[in-house]
Amino acid sequence: MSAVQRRRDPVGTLTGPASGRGRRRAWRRFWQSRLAVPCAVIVGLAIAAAAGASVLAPSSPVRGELADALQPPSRAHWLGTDDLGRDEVSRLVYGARVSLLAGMISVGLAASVGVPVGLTAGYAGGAVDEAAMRCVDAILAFPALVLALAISAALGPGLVSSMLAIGFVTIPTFARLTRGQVLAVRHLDYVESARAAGAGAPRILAAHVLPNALSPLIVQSSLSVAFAILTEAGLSFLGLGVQPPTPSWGSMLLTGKNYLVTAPWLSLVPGAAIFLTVISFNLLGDALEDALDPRRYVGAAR
Amino acid sequence: MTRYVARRLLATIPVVLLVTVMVFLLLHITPGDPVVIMLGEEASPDAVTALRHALDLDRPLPVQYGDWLWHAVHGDLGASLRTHDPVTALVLERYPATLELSALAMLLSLCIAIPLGVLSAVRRNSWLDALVTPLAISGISMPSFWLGILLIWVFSVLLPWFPTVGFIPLGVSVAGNLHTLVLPVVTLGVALAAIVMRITRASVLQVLQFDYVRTARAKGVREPVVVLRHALRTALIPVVTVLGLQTGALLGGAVIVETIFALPGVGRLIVDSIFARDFPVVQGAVLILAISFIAVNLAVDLMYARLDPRIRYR
Repeated sequence: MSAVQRRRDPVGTLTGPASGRGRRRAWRRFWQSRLAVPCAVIVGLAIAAAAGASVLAPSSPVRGELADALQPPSRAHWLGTDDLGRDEVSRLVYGARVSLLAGMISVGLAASVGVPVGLTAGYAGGAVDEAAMRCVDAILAFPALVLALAISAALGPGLVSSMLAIGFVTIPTFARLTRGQVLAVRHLDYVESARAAGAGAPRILAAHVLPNALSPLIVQSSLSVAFAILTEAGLSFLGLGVQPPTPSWGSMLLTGKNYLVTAPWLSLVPGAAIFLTVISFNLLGDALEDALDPRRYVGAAR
Repeated sequence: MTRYVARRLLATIPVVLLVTVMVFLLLHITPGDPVVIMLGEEASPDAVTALRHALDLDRPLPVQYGDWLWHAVHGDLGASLRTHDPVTALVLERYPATLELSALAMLLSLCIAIPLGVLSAVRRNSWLDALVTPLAISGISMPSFWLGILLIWVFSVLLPWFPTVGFIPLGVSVAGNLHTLVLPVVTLGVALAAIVMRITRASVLQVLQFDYVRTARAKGVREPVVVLRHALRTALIPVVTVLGLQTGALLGGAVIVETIFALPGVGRLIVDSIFARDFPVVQGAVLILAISFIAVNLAVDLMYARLDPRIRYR
C-alpha cells in the first residue's frame, strides 16, 4: 500500500484491514459488537472440547455397559446413556472433534482450490475466466446437499469422503468471491503501477490483490464452516458420514430418533450442540463482516 | 427481449453438458471395479472380461459418455441394478411427492416471510424488527433433521396431533395428504422463510429510499398504498432471484425431510439406492434433480426480464 494512497484515504476505506491500523480498528469493532463475545465463547468451548476430548470425557465414547442402556440423565451420566449404554457426555465431547474437523478441513480444502481459481480467472480474464466460471456454474447447478451426498456415496461412506464432498461443493463460493474481488481491484492505480514497475502476475496477485480480498474471505470462511458443520451432520444423520462406533453429532441424532418416546434427551442434546455451534459460526461471520467492512465503519462514524 | 432470452438459453447449454459429465463421472470415481462387484471376487478373469464387454465398459470413457448421453437425452437413464426397472420411471414415480413437498414448503415460507419482512422494514427498530433478525439467523442455523425430530417429539409423541411418519397420496385423500405433510412442510420451509425474511426486509428498506417512493409520498399517497403498491413490486425482484437460488437448498433439504418422515420422494429414493449400492438410480435421480434446479433458475431469469424492464435492454 503506497503512502500516497494512505494519505488520500484517512479513514482506511481503501487500505481496510490489510493495513496494521485497519486491523487493530477492525478487532476493536469486532469485540464491541454485542454477539461476538458469546459466539466466540461457544466456538471456543467447542474447540476446547474437540482438542481435549480424551481428558474431558468421563468415560469411553465407544464402549458402554448394555445394562446401563438408555439411562436418563443422572449424577453418574449427566446427559444419560445411549442404546448401547455409552455415556452421552463422552460421545458429545468426542463428536465435537468430528464436527469441527469436518467443518474446518472441508472449508480449508474449498478455499485452497477456490481462491487460486478465482485469482487466476479474475486476473487472466478471457477464455480462462469463461472456462473456470462455467465449471463453477456446473457445480452450483446441483443442489449442494444432493451433490455432497452423491460424491460421498461414490467415494464410500466415511469422514474423509464427506470432507472431500463438502469441500468440493464449497469451491464455487470461494472461487466466485475471490474473482469478484480481483475484478474490483485489477484496474486500480496501485495494481497498474505494480504492473508498470515490472511485477509478474503471481507477485501482483499475492502481494497486491489477495491482501485486499482477505476480509470478505475471512467472513465467508466463518459462514462456510457453519454450512460445512451442518452438512457433515446431515450426511452423518443419513448414515453416510462418520461410521460407527465413532461418535458424531449427526449420527448421535440418528440413534436418538429411534428412541424419541423413551429417551428424548438422546435427540435433544446432539441437535442443540449442532444448532449452537452453527449459529455461533454464522453470527461470528456477521460480526466479522461488520467489523471488517470499512464502509460500514465510515457510516457508523458519521 | 428475444435476444436476452436467446442468450440466456444458450448460456444454459454448456452448464447442462458439464452437469451431465459430472453425473456420468460420479459412477466412475466409485472405488472398485463394478464388474467385479457384480460377479464377486471369485469370478474368473474370462467372465469379468466377457461381462465388461457385454456392458460396453471396455470402451474409452468419452465413447461411453457419448453413448450414455445419447440414451439420457432420449429419456433412457439405464435400469436399476436391484429391480431392473427403468431408472426414469422409478424417479418420475417419486417426483410428485418431492414436488408437492417443496412447493408447499416454498408457499408456507412466502406466506410467513414476506409479511414479516415487509413489516419489520416498515417498522424499523420496533420490537418486531428486533425479533426478526435473531429469528432469521436461528432459522438459517437450524439443522432441518433436528427440527423435524423436535416437531415429531412435540406434535406426534407428546401431543398426538400428526402422524409420526407415513404418507397419503394426493389422489387418495386431499385432506389426509395435507395432514401427513404438515410437519414435513414446516421442517423444510423454516430455513427458506428465514432467508426470504432477511432479503425482503433489506430489499424493502432499500426501495423505500428511492426517489419514486418519495414522490408518491409527497403526492399524498397513503403509506400502506406506497408500501404495498409502489415499493413492494420493486422490492420483490431480488426475492424472486433468491427463491430460484434457494430451490437447490429446498431440494437438498427434501432428501433429509423425506428420510425423517418416510415420504416416497426422489430424495429418499437416492438415500435408499445409495445403501443398496444401486448406482444407476442414484445417478439418474441426481441428474433429474439438477436439471429441475437449472430449469427453475432459467424460469426465474426469464421472469426477471418481465418484472424488471432494465434487464431487457442490456
